[in-house]
Amino acid sequence: RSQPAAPGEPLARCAMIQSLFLTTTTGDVLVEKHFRGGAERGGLDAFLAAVAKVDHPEDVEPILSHTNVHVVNLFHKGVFFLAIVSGEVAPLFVIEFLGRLRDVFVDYFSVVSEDSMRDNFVTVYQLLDEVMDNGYPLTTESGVLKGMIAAPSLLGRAVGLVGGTVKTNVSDTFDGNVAALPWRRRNVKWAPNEVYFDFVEQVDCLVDNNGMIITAGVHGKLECTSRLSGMPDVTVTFQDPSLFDNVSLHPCVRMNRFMKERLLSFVPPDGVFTLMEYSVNRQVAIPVYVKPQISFHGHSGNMNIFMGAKGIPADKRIEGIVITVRFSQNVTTVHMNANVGDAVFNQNSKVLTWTIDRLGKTLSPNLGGTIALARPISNHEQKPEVSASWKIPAYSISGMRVANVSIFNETYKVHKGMRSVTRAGKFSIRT
Amino acid sequence: TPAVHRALPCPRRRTRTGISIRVPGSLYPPLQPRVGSVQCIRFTMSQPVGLFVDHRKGEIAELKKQLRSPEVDRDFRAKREVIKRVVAYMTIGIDVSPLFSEMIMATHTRDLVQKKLVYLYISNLADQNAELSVLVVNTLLKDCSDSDPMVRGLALRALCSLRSENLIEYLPSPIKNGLGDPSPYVRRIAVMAAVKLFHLSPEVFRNNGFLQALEERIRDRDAQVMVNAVIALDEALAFKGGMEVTRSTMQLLVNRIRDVSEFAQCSVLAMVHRYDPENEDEVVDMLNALDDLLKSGNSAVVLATCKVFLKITQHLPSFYNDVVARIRQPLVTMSATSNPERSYAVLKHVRLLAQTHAPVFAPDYKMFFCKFSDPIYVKISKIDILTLIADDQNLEDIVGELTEYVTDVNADLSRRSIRAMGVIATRFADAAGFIAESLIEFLDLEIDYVAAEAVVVLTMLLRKFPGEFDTVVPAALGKSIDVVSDPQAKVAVLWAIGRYAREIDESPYLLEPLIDEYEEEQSHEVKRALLTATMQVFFARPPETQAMLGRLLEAAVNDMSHMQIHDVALLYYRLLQRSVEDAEAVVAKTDCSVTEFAEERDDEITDQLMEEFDTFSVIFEKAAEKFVTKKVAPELPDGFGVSDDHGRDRAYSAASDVGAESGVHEGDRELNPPHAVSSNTYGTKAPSSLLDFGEAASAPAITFDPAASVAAGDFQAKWSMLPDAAQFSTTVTNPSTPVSAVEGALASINIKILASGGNPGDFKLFAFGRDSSSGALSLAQVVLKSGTGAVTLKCEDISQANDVKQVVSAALSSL
Repeated sequence: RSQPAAPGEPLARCAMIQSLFLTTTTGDVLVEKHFRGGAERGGLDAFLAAVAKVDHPEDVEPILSHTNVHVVNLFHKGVFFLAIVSGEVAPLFVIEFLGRLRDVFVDYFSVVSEDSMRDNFVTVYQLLDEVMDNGYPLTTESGVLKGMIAAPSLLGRAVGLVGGTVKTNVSDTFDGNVAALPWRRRNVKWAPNEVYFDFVEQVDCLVDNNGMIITAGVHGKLECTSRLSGMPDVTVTFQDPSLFDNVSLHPCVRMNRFMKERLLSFVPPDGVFTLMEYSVNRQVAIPVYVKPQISFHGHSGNMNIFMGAKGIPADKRIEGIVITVRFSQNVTTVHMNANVGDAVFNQNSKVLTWTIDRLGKTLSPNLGGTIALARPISNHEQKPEVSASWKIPAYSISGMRVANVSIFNETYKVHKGMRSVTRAGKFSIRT
Repeated sequence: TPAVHRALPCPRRRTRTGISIRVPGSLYPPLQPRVGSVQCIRFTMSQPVGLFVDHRKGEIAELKKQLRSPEVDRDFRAKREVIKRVVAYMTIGIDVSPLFSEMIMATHTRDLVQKKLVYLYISNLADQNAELSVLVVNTLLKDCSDSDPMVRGLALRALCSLRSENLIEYLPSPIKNGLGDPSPYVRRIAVMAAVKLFHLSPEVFRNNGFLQALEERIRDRDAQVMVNAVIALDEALAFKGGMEVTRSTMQLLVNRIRDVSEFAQCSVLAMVHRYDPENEDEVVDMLNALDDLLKSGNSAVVLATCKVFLKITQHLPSFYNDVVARIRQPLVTMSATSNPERSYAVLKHVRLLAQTHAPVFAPDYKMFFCKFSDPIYVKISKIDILTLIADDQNLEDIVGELTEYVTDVNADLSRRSIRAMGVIATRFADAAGFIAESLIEFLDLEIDYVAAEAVVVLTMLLRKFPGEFDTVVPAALGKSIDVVSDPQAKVAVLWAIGRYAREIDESPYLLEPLIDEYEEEQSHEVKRALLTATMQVFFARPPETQAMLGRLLEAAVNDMSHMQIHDVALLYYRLLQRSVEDAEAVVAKTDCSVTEFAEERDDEITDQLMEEFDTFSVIFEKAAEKFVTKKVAPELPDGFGVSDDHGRDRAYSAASDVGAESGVHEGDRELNPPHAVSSNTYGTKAPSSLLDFGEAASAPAITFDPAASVAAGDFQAKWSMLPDAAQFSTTVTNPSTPVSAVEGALASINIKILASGGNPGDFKLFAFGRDSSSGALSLAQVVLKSGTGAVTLKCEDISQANDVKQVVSAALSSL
């Protein structure tokens, strides 16, 4: 390998990624790509050693240091996205890049797994070639990439339709005239033209053992699905723009108009993207209550959990409720009866899972029963941890609503839609 | 070995009978990318199926046939499948080089996917076979002038990725054409191709005027080309500190920052960060122009913007504080996102800022409470922040919250919560009382590691607030001697029993079981602490203790498991023989109190913050080292790990080991008992014949005793007692000087290393030397960072300070 004649260590100060890996939690390497010179395995080995040390793969620290490189990882459903970085790079730059790579892969292949990587290795290769050149991010917008590299489903559909007699890959039509807007490709064609907005609001909540709320917060996202031809210019106004705080916006949104008029004006990327993220500063009522009562004496214990809805409109329903109770290793068995839903206790993990598909109108759900212990209870026993997940479709807890969507610069008819969902984020109850 | 291993590709062969057998991996060595391969990709399958089934040589011949078949040629899908199979074989390490000429033929296609696959094949094969790579140059050169811009771009990228020196002569012309290509896609690639050429041959790069060509691209119509050009120039000019950012470049970059992708925005911000504004107006302009980037949904952009803001306002205190207040909201919000990796990195930045601006983040304290679903590393980062931002308002809530974590299943989290409570207690005298009460309750939980940590922290509080808790805490600590098994904690409890021998009613009887079971004790540190504690209890309550002290001294003097124990026991024995008062004075001097936690000056931390913000250093918390607990560890008896910096804990336990070893190896114990503490501090009272410390005779040039030894504990005791004799700094030429180099330089003048820790170029070491004529000890601390070594000297004989400084700095100047 020839070295640059310049003195010093020029590469050390350049922000770039040396190698990318995708590995499983057991250390199988699914994909690897090296952007600069030889394959540095030391960083990978150090990382795999760190994975072997922890009980849960999600507890691996995101950034490790190994001799002269940093190893940054992002964990996604059993797969680690790994970047080996040399020199001084902003850590969040690497984390965000890996996050983007994950988003692109999920967008293309739905799941990121050993199977999906193998089945689509041709596409994976093409993507890695375009998202990063020479260790620097190049084209990272899923919508733009789709203009160069066909997604597997698209390819299959096109082949099915035309029987292979015409060009099937979208990239064949790519004219190399990358658009002036970095997030949107040119010559997008859709029929019908549609644009949908989804408010996804997440309630984080920490409740103490007396049922008092210690902290609560609402984080929301406005996701947009855009299938619009040409160069549409979209304007979205809100019914009450004072409802949200701490906004962060997709780069396509015109910042000055947002600051002045509290509306979103933008030329959208093609496909699904997060238009805006926000949090809600004012106090909101938590729409679900979960009240565990747990007591131990000697070799046994009693538990009762009450849960229900609180202060949501009569026409909204709570769905997909999962309440989990994580017990200490001292717990041997748990006998529980629920008046609604199913409760299952996993002997190995000591986790009780109570699942309710949909909350009825009349009955208030209750779970009760006994707990058996291996040793008598002592005061240093790990307290059971209760957490809950749920969602309320067609409901925005902050009250956010889109008032109007207008599309300029294009004349075609557009289907527009708006949906909301409120779901539990990190929802923990102490006992 | 751990269960985790990297699976080697182990192709399976499906036989005609349908039974799959495993083909030994060694037959098909995996394709190992060699040094020099610039773009290589490999898929490793633990269970190859489908495309990845091995078909052996016969099948390679079959593929060759198919590649040549006119029928396959007519059906692009079939052709693509065949080529896909070739590449699939290649990626699992099967030799597909016999197909080279057919594959080259396959570049003549309008199917871009096929073309890309062939390029992939070419890049990989060329890595292994330089001769073959010459054969593909013509094909690639031809594609570089294809009518399709995508083809031109891909071909140029593939060409420059071959990275063979034989090919350098072919590169400049297509790169030049690429830089002037009408398609921005090609220009983007061409700019990066120029960087690749630079790394292959800087001469060819310069002689062909690529520096100027890239500079022109900074004003390219396409913003991404502009950013690539900036990155490229920065790499090519790295030898003189990277690209220079003038005012007009900065303005150009700022004006176009909204036209590029988020990642390119980060690169632009890194360049803008390099610019020093000339006056306040310019600072304001920059703040206004970039402010809305703080609303970006991409945390990398937000952090890069914060970094610019902090830098340009660092000398304007009012602006600076406004900036910190301004970036609080985005940081706090991002730290609460559901993406734990992002949250972790952001939390580390909050921690860094909270060191100087704790009040800014104090009202948000509830945002840093742990959720069950947080990964452990996020929880630990949050505890660190809670420790820093505790104030009069939120103190009770924070301590209450930390108490919740004490019973967590994760022992590390539990320990850190207790330690955090201790640190908060030392900062708020009013709260120390109720925190001490909580800590005493933790002792009752009877969880080993909780009790151990609580004991250490309680001991720290006793030292920090002498006289405050003398009634309750020592008694509780004494009782816990049965509970704790951790040596460090035992040492702490023994210290408390000795120090509060008069206050703890049953003090002699707490020690008795340990004395009776002396032989079973494994840790020599505990044994030593037991000796000292029993001595102290003896001074306080002689009638009850005399007999057990006798037994203990006898056992310890005869204890050959560790020289240090023998030495200390012998020393005590002789001191007692001579005079009980003298003995009491000597033993009392081994005890010292924590007077204050070291605090850095704000501006020093600010400088450090500038250096570390948005870099990897912030993650590894180099700043922590200088903060809060800097002086705590040296002031405690050895074995105490109360600092919240793991690195230092290790350094100190290492120190004990080194001390112990030197005690063993260099013996000489009759004359220089390792525990002969601080002669000149108790001066005339000490029997100088025993301790062998004469009055220091100052000599102009000092030489050190090559056989000197000092126990780690004594070192620490002295280090905390002696004032700084001299401080100076020295620069080293090699920024990544290894520890061994400094050790070697010091060894050349007979200065011994007690302990060292860190990485090359960034480490800390403690050393000592004993004047060969007077026997006076000099201690030194060397901290090397960014090519500068900061040396702190402490001398028993202060008159030697200048000589020692001269000799040490001369030795270090050789680096």
